[in-house]
This record gives sequence, structure tokens and C-alpha cells, in this order.
Amino acid sequence: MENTGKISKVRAGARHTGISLLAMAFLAASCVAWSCDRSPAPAVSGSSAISTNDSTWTYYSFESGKTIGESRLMDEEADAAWAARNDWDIAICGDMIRTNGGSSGSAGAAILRDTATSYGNILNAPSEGYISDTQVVVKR
Amino acid sequence: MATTKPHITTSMIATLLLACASAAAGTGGRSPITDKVLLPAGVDNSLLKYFPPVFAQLGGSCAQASTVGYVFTYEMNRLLDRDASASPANRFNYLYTWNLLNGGSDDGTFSTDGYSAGYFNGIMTEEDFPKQTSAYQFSWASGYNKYFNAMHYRVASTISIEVADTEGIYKLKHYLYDGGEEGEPGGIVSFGSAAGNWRFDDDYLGPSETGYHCMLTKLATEGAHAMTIVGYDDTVECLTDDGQLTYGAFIAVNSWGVFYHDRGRYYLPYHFFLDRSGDGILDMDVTGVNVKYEDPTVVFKINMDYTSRDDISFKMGIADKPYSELPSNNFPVSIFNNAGGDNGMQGALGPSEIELGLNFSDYASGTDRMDEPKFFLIVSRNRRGNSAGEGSVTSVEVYDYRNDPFHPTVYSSPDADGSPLKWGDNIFGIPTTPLKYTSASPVRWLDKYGKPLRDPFVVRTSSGRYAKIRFTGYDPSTGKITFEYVLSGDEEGSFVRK
Repeated sequence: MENTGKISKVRAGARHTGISLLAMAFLAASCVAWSCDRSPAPAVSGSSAISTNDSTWTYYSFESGKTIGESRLMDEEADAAWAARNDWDIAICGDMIRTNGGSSGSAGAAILRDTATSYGNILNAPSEGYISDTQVVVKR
Repeated sequence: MATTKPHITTSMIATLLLACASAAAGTGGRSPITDKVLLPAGVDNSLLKYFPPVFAQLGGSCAQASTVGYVFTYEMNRLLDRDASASPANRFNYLYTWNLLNGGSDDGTFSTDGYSAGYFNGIMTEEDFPKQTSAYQFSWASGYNKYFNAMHYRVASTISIEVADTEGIYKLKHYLYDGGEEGEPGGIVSFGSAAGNWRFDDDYLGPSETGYHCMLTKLATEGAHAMTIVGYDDTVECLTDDGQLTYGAFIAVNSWGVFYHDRGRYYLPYHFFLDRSGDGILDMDVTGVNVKYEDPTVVFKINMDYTSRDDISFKMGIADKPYSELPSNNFPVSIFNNAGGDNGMQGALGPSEIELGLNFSDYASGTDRMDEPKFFLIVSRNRRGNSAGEGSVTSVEVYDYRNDPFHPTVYSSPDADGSPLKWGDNIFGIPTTPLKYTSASPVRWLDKYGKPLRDPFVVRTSSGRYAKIRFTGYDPSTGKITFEYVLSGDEEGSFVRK
């Protein structure tokens, strides 16, 4: 996984601006209080129930924790419209799952199945192994 | 000799007929022969146009010569009212079934096995079967149209009549007279006997309604042979081994050419069926056939190249979706199964390439309720015989004539790419509708039973954060999916919650 932490960006910005020592001191103090210890941002957990069927895609967002909308399976116009949006993460239609990336979307989403680690023991997202959407056979 | 025997009288014939008529009713024939009719004194169906010219068989093909060359040819021409002598298209080639059954060697076969080969795929005509001058060619025909033509001429059922007493003799005579269908031409049957150490009177000059001069006087005691009964004659006079005078004989036709017996025919006295005390060999069960003419509706066309054909067997199948990888129903193929010996597909002297046709018509009705049927051909390769062959299937197509008998819809298998056949089953799918595609993840969240996988998933989200997710339930009847997840606080992807 690419590491582009916010602290690094802030420090880089400080080298190129003429901010005051006071400001620098304030920023350093904030850094200690906020994330200079490199502790990650807190994760949020949830559970959901969505409804779908073999002919309907149901789109879901983890950030909003809810269903965003639906579209008909094999509706190319609807597929194109959903691919242009970035307010959903996954969609499910029967046995198929879709992510907002690859051939299904423009937001760079992808998915991996972790066969080696239990759900509870995944503490950090794997850095690689994500699979982007592509054209698959519809088994209906 | 006949000249020493008293001639049969009209009253004697009547007595014989009444004796036969008093026997109990039985079964058999194109329809069950249960009624009693006054039969004529003589019947010779070999004189009808339906019967082919007497021929000389190649090799040990007697059973197929009788069942296919004579009986099937006769019955099909009787059904279609065609003249067997008019065209090789009106005669059926006994070598077609013999070469399917003889294992690539000059061996005998069973009569009913030839009929079994004709149940689904029919019997090939002399016109379509390749010219074969030696028994050792073991030819199989190549050409879709030849097999397609053959599929029109099929065996509907076989008929067995036990001829072990006067009742059985009556049943067979009745069958020879009208086949159990009043006013119709009679049937003919195959029978088995030995063909060595038999004796004939080749100068029978006694009474006869049918006019032949060759009489079997002693049953054969060696070998095995199949021949054909084409009629009977109640007026001929026959002596038993102990000199007793009897009346009546069946008319048998051999397959050794016209120079044997009397133009290939001889009288087979009834008494041989009634007295089994001697060492002569004669099968008491005779076999006929009911035939049918049908237009094929769905036919497989196969092009392949293989060097030892007895390694190969076939099955056909059907599934109801274009993406099905295996048939949901398998159907046997009654021919070409580990057959023909260690020869190339067209025989000992022929090339290893062949074009075959397999009739799917009897199974085709099962696809009527399928929106998107997919046909399957399974070619099994298993070593048989002395050598293992190799080769490939270069093309598999299905011809569907159901919408237009003259312009079939043709479906092709994308799997038949000429790759070498592997040992075991080689499956060729022939979809009738194209696969449908959509954009989705190749990753599956359900197992093959439709249950959510227990494994967790990690999703890189639209905002660049990460979510680990575990599906906890799925009810296909309602479409309700439940899952739990943890969404990372940032793009670092930590799932630690504070």
C-alpha cells in the first residue's frame, strides 16, 4: 500500500513557506497532540443489511454506511452512470460483486479475498493483491 | 428323394392347417399374432420387390448379412413400398453394422447387436457406404450426409418368435404371410444354426408351391451361421432321419451367393424345429424387426482424426445455460464405442480422419423447455486393444432442423480447436446462445452452494480508505444480505478502533 501520511505532507509544506517560529512552535505542539506518534486515524465499524436479487445491482457506501441506489443488471446506460460516480464502494447483484474501479467505476476501488487471515486478525489492509473489476460472464 | 415320397393332398394340407390353427394364440410380429387365419399353402417373400438380390457375404458377417442385408432391407422397402433392386439407395449395407461390431477382426456378431446400432443412428445404405471388397478393410464411412441419410432408416423394435412346436411354426408362418396385418405383405426373419456337416438334397423334385429344388436333409453340427427365413411351403415332402414322412418347410436364404443351394435358397423342413433329439444345431428363436422412417431433427457433426479408434467412445449431453460447463443430462451413443479395433477412424486401409454424424433427435424434445440450451459432446479416450492412439477433434457442430428441415440452424463448439485429445473425458460444449457479459469483480463472495464465503474481504474504497468486510448471511429467497465491516480511518488502512 502506498504510504502518503498527512504528517509528511505538512512537513514538506513547512519547508517552503515563510511561516513564523511561533507558528512553527504551534504546529509542533499540534503535531505531538495529533499524529506525530504515527498512531492511525481511528477506524469505524458497522454492520448492514442490504437487499438485492439476481437482476438488480444494489450500491453501497461504507463511509455513509447505507445503500446508495440500484440499477438493473445488463443496463449499460445505468452502468455508465454509476461508473462516473464516486459515492459508492461496492455493489452486489446475486452472486456477483462490483467495486467502484476497474471496468465498473472511476474511483480506483478494488477488492481482495483474504484466505489466510481471519476477519478479526486483519489489523491492517494488505498492501497488495487487490483485484479490479473486469468483464465477467453473467450466469443467469 | 422326392420322387419316392407320396404327394401331399389337399385334404392333408387342410389337416395340417387345422392342426396349426388349433394351437394356442401367442405373441410376436409387427402386431401380435393372436388371431387364426387360414394360411395359403406357400409364401415366398423373396420374390417380392422389397427383397434384395441374393449376395455373398464378406468374412464372418453372416448375422449382419441376414439382419441388415436381407431383413432390414426388406422391411424398410416394404414400409416405403420401394424396389430393393432399383437402386443401391434402397438396400442397406450389412458391412456398416458388421464393421461397428466386429472389433476390427473377422469375427461373427450377434443379430440383435446390429439392430441396436440402428435404433438411434439408423442403418447406412449401400449407396452411401464405401465400397469394400475385402473383409479386412473394416471400413467406417466418412461424411455427415451419409450418416444423416442413415438416420432416416431406423430400427423401431425387434421381434422374437419361438419356433419350438406346431404353435410356433404357425406363428412364424402367419408372420411370413402377413406380418400380423391382414392384407399386408408378410415379414421375414433371421435364424441361427450351424453350417458345417450339413447335408442337402440338391435335386428335390417333389411337390412344391414355391418351386425350389434344394432341401436341407441333415442339420449342421459345426460352426455358427445366421440365415434368413423368407417364406414357407406346406406342400413339400421331407423325411426325418428315421425315414418318417413329414410335410412342409420354411424357405431359407443364405448369404453365400446365388450359386449355393437353389439360387441361394433352400427348404428348411419344419420337423427340424419339432425334433431336437439329434446333434444338429438350430436356434428355436427367430428374429424380425419393426422399422421406422423418420426425419432427424437434431444431429451432431463431428470431425476428428484419431489413429486407434477403439480408444474412443462418445456421449451426448444437454444443459440449460450457455455458461454450463457440464451437461445436466447425459445420453448414450449406441455406436462407435470402443469399436473397430486398432485402426484409424476409417478402417485398416483408410485415413485416420473422419466426419461422423450422431443422431440427437430422440433427446431433442428435452430442450424445448430450455431458453438457452447448450449441447455437449463428450469424447472419452481410454486405451483399448494393443496400441494407444492419438489425435484430436477438429470440429463439433450441432445441426438443428426443427425450425426449417432444409436450412438447419448450425451451432459450433468453441472447444474443438484441434488440441490433442487427453486421456479420459474431453468435453466439447456447443452453446446455442452467446454468453452474456457485464462489468464485475472476478472475486466471488458466494461458494458453489450459494452460501457466503467465510473468508474476509478487503475493499479499497472510492475515497482511498480500506474496508474489511465479512458476509454473515444471505437469504436467496428474499435477497437479504447481511455483513459487518470495519472502515479504516484513513488511507493507511489500519482497522484498529479507538
